Amino acid sequence: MNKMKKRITLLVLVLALVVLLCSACNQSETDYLAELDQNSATYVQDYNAMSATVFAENTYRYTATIYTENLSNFDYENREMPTDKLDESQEERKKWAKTNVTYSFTRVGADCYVEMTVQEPVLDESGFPTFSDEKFKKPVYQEDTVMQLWSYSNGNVLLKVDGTTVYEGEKGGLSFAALEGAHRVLKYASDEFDLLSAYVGSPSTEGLFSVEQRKWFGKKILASQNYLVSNLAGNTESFRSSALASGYKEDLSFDWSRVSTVSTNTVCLTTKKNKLISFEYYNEIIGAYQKTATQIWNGETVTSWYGDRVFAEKSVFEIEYPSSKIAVEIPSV
Amino acid sequence: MDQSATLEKNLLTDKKYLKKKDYITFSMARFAAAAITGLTQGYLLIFYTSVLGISPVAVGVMFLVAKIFDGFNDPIMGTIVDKTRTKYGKMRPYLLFGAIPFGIITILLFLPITSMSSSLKIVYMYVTYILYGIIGTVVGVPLDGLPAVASPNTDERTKIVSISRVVGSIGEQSALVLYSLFAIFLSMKYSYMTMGIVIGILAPVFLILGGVAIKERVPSSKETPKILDGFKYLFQNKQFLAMILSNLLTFFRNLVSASIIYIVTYIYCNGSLNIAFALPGAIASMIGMLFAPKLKKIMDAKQLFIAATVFHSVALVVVFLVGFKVPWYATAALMFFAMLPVGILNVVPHLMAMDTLDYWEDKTDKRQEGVCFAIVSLRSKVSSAFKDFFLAYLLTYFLFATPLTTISDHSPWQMSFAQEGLFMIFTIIPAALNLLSIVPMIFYRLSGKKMAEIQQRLVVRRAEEFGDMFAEEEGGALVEAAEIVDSQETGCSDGAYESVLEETVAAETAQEIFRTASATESESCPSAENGAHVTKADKESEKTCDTEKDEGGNDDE
Repeated sequence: MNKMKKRITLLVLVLALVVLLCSACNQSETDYLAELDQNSATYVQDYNAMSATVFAENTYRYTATIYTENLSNFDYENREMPTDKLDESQEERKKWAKTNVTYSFTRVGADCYVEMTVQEPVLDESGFPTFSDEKFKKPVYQEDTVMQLWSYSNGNVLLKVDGTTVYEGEKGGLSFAALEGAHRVLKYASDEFDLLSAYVGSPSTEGLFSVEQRKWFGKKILASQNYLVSNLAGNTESFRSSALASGYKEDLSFDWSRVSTVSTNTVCLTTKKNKLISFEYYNEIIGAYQKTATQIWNGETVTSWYGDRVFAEKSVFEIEYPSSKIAVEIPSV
Repeated sequence: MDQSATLEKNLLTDKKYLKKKDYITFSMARFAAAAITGLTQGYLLIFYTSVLGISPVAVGVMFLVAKIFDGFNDPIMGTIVDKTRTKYGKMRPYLLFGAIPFGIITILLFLPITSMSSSLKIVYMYVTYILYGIIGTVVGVPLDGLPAVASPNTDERTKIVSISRVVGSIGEQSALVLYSLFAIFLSMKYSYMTMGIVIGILAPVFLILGGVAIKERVPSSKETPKILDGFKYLFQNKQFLAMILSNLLTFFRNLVSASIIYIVTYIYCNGSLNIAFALPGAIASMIGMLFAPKLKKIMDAKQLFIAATVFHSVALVVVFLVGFKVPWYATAALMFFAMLPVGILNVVPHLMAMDTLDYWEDKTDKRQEGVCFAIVSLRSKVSSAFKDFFLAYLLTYFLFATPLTTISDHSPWQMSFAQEGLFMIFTIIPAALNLLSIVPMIFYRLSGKKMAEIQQRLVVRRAEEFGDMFAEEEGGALVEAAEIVDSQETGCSDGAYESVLEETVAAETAQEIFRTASATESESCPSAENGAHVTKADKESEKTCDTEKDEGGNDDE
C-alpha cells in the first residue's frame, strides 16, 4: 500500500505541475501587442493585394446578403434595456432585415456597365419585417428592383431604375443620395458604382484586436477583428488607448458604467487562384446598460452595469468571374 | 456427470438471489452514471469554448492530458478495489460515498464562471475535469464490477448486465433530450448550467439507491491486470496490435457525433435540433449493431470492418456534397444512413479482440482476457482524448469565434470559413481520415478461414482437456462435435466456421460443460492471472463475472 500511496502522490504532483504550467502558458500582454503591431503592417499589405484583384477585372459579378438587426427600444440616453416583458411596448423588439443584392460589372476600355438587382423585405409601419410564415419567420419580399448604369469614356452616365431613365448627364452631377427617396435601391449604390468597393474601402488598423491568416486547399483567408470604444461624450477610440478598456485577448473587458457603446468589426477576405472570391463584414454594437436591484438583507438599491448587443450587421459578398472565353460586352441602352 | 457437480450446477442456475428491485435500482444507477458521462462527453467542449470563451486549443490540450491520465486511472482503481475489505463489501462503499461528490463535480463542471480571468478559467477547467475523471473512476470501476459479485447465479449476472447496459445507453442520451428541451427556453449558458444541476442532483440519488439495494454475495478473487503487462501483451500479439492501432485511428469518425452540437448551434442556429440529429444517428447505429451478426455470417470481421468503414466514409462524402444550405431535415435524413455502419464498427472490434485471444491461445496456450480488455479500455479513452484534441485544433484552424465573456450572453458571428469548417468536421474530414483505420488492417491476418482452423484446434484441445471429467455421453458429444468440425474439407468457408460449430454441437452443451467445470473448480470466478493458462471454460465463466465491455453504444464517447 505504501507503494500505491507513493504512486498516487507522484501522479497528483505531476498533475499539479501540468495545471500550473498550463495556466502560465498564456501569452503576456506585451508580447501580444508586439505581435499585433507586427501583424498590422502585413495585414494592410495583404488586404490591399487581395481586395485589388477584383477591381482589376474587366468583368465580375457577385451576390451580396446584407442582414441587419437593431434592438429598436434600447434606451441609448438612459442606457437601459427593455426589461418588462409583460408590457408589450417594453418587450425586446428586434427589428431585422435581410436584403439580397446581385451585382454585375462590365468594363470595355473606359466604358463601364453596372447592373444591380435588389430584393428587400416588406416592413410594417414600425419597421418590423412581415412574414408569410410566422412560425418559421419566412419574410415577405418586395418585387425586385433593377438598377442599370452606363458610364462612358466621355464622362457621361445614364442611370435607369426598372427600365426608366432617372438620370442622364455628367458623372459629377449624379447623386445617388439625392435620388434615393424615389428609388429605394439607390441607397445600395455608391459613388464608385460598386457596393463592394464601398465596403472594402481601405483597411483599418484602428483598434485592431486580432489578425489571422489561413490556407485551405488553394484558398487564402485573411481575417481581422477590431474593437472601438465610445465614451459618454461620443468620442470613439481604440480599445488599446481607451481608459475604459482593460485586459487583452479573451480577458478584454470594459468599464460599462462609463462606456456608451463598443463597436466590434470582423472582416474576412478569401481569395482563390489570386482572385477575391468572398468578402465578409460583420459588425456588432454593444450598448452599455444598467440594472438596478434591491438587496434583500439591507434594502439598499444597487446599480450594476452590463454590455449587450443592440445592433448587428452581417454582409457577405460572394464573387464570381465569368469565363475569359466569353466575350465582354456592354449591353445597349 | 458427478453428482456434486450437478448439484452445484443446479444451485448456481436455479436459485434466484436478485429481486426485481435489484434489477431496477442497479439499472437506474447505470442510467445515472451514463447520464453524467453523456453530459460531459457531449457538451463540455462546447461549454468551455462557447460559454466560458476559453480558447479551443487550451481546451483540447486539457482533454488530451486529462483523458490519457484517466485511462491509467482504471487499473489503479481496480487494484484499490481488489484490496478493499469493508463490511459493506469491496465495491459498494465507493458507489455510496462517491455518488455525492460525483454529482457535485458535475455541477461544478458546468458553472458559468464567465467573470474569471482566462488563466483562472483554465486552471478551474483542469482541476474540475481531472477531479471529475478521478471521481468518475472511483464510482465507475466498482459500478462495472458489481454485477460480477451480486449473485452466484450466472443467468442472473448475465441478465442484470444486459438490462443495465440497455438502460445505461438510454441514460447517455438523457443530456441530449434535456438540452434540446432547455434550449427552447433558455440561453446556451443557462441551458448547460441547468443540465449540470439537474443531472448533478438526480444522479447521486440513483447511484446511492443502487449501492444500497444491491448486495455483494460473491467474493471476487479476480486480480486487476497490470497495465505494463498489457503493453507487453500488446507488442507480443501482433494481431492484437494491428487491431488496436486500427481502432485507435477510428477517433476520426467520432468527430461526427462530437460536432453535432456545433452544427445545430452555428449552422442551423437552433440548439433544439440537437435531438433531431443525434437521436436518429443513435438509432441507426443500433440498427447497424443488430445487423452485425447476420453480416458476420457472410464475411469475416476484417472484411466487415473495412466494408463498414468505406460505406460510412462514402455516405459522409455524399452529405458533404449536398452541403449545408439545404433544409436541416435533409441533412439529418442523410446522416441517418451515414450512421448505419457505425453500429457495426462498434461491435466488430470486440469480435476481433476475441479472435486475437483465440489466436494467442492457439499459439501460446495462454489466454489473457484481463490484459486484453484492459488495453481495449485504455485505447477507448486515448481515442476519446485524441478526438477532443483534434476537434479543438480544427475549431482553432477554422477560426471558430469564441465569445468575449465581458459581453452578456455573447454569441459572436461565425465567418463563412468557420461554418464551412464546422460542416467539414462533420462530414468530409472524418470521411477521409477514417479510411486510415484500414491501413493497420493490412497486417491483420485473422481471416475467417484462418480463424476456422484456429477454432478447430482449440475445440479439440479443450475437448481433450475437459472431456474426461464428465460422463462419456456428454464429453463424448463434445469430442464428436470436434471430430465433425475437424473432418470438414479444408476448413470452413470464410465466416461460416461458427455456423458449423452451431450445427454440429452441442456448442451450448460444450459451454454448459465449461461453466460447470469452472464452477466446480472454484466457487468464484476464475482468476484471469497474467500468463496463466486460462481456458475457454474460464473465459465463458468470466464473461458472466466481468461486466462485458459496452457493445451497445459508441465506446469511444
